[in-house]
Amino acid sequence: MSKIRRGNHIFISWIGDHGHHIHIYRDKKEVLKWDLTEDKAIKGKPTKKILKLIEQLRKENLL
Amino acid sequence: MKIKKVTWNNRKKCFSLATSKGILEFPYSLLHPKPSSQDEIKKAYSDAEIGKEAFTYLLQSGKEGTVHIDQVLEYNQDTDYLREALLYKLTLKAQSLLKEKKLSARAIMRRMHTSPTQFYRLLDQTNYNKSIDQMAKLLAALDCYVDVVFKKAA
Repeated sequence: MSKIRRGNHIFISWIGDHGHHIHIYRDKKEVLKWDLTEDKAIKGKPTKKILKLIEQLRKENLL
Repeated sequence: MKIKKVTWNNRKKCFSLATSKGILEFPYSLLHPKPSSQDEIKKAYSDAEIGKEAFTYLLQSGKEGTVHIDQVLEYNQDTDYLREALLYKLTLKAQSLLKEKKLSARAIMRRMHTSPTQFYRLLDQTNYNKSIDQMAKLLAALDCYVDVVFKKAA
């Protein structure tokens, strides 16, 4: 997968044996690891802004 | 975990990553976009933008791809990664059972002989400072018994 840049954040998604995940980075630090299958946080706490950006990427078929 | 160095081998068709856990390999077959003999890898580096927790490769055609260290750890069956994935799955199961069952949280705590703090800590899927043993105890209190299934590697 390639990196996606949106609103000061970098998104990297991948599908593995344990589901479809997305890693979100800001200022070189991981702020959230999100489970796209279950729609739950794996690591970190989601903010409204990040959830909105994930939804936007989904609508654009980028995830 | 940080990636210290990335090298690639077109004969073996895989990347070698130098990490604190040693050398980890990742095959070309799992990449997207995939390199080929007509479109070989031009450059690969530990990505500083992502805190060196991923590597980015560039193909001769100009296409670019990024692989996160978790993907590499999953491919290499890293025990710490697999433990966290198992804990996450067990926590999600406990959360769904708690919603399904009509038992109150207090009743479960009493069954487990545990404090509310510990109980809610076990139900937090982002907390990995808990053991599989504690999760099995929580699931047992929710009338769900954990069994083991041995799978052959694909």
